[in-house]
Amino acid sequence: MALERELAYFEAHKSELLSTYQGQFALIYGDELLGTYTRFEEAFEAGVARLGNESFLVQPIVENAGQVQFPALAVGLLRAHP
Amino acid sequence: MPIHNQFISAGPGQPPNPQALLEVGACLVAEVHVPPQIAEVLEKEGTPVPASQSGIALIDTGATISCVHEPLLADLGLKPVGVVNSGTAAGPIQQSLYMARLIFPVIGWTVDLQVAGVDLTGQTPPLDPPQPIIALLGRNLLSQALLIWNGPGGFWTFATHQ
Repeated sequence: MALERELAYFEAHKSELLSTYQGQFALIYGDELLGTYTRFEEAFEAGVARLGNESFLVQPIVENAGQVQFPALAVGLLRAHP
Repeated sequence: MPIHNQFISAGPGQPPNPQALLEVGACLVAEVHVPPQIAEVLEKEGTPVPASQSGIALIDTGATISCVHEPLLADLGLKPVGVVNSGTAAGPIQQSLYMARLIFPVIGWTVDLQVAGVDLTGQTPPLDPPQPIIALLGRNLLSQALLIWNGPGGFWTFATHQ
């Protein structure tokens, strides 16, 4: 799974991020928080400006991100990963 | 406001056909591009920007966010910038999230949005000539558009404010 390190960082620091930045988006690269932003697109642009075409995590700072729905995926018409 | 009416018929020169619309669904040609922020970085580096990939996009009102065939995103050199949790028959899974630029030439619409990477291998709507589905257009795209489905009329209408 991509972004494992970044996701682990987020989970480890979730409580402190929630206490200050709830509802915003965290920009995380490796084990480092690069910033918080009010919109996903802002965080993405900041990530590209700082890191170029690298993989980084833009994570909503919420208690539970919930699930998105893909009915075609859920019933097996699609596959989640090639 | 550009308004696109897509009439679905059983063959060339035929009138709109409700059954054909039922079988084909709301399909339109889409191009998937490297988002402009990354294209700018590549150009500054002197790295060629990968050429866009085109194919059929199917409007899927059941999907929360849009999806693109993940190998195609890899061909564009795009990297994941997030994850989403989704439910499947086998239980919840995580999928990679990418930023991509989608262009719909027939409508003349360009949109930058978050897309989930999925495997759309073998998904081909009954079109002549056959073309693979490369994207499902979910509600994060439809939130920026007007969609009208006219089943009895054999057509659908798509409009954007851009």
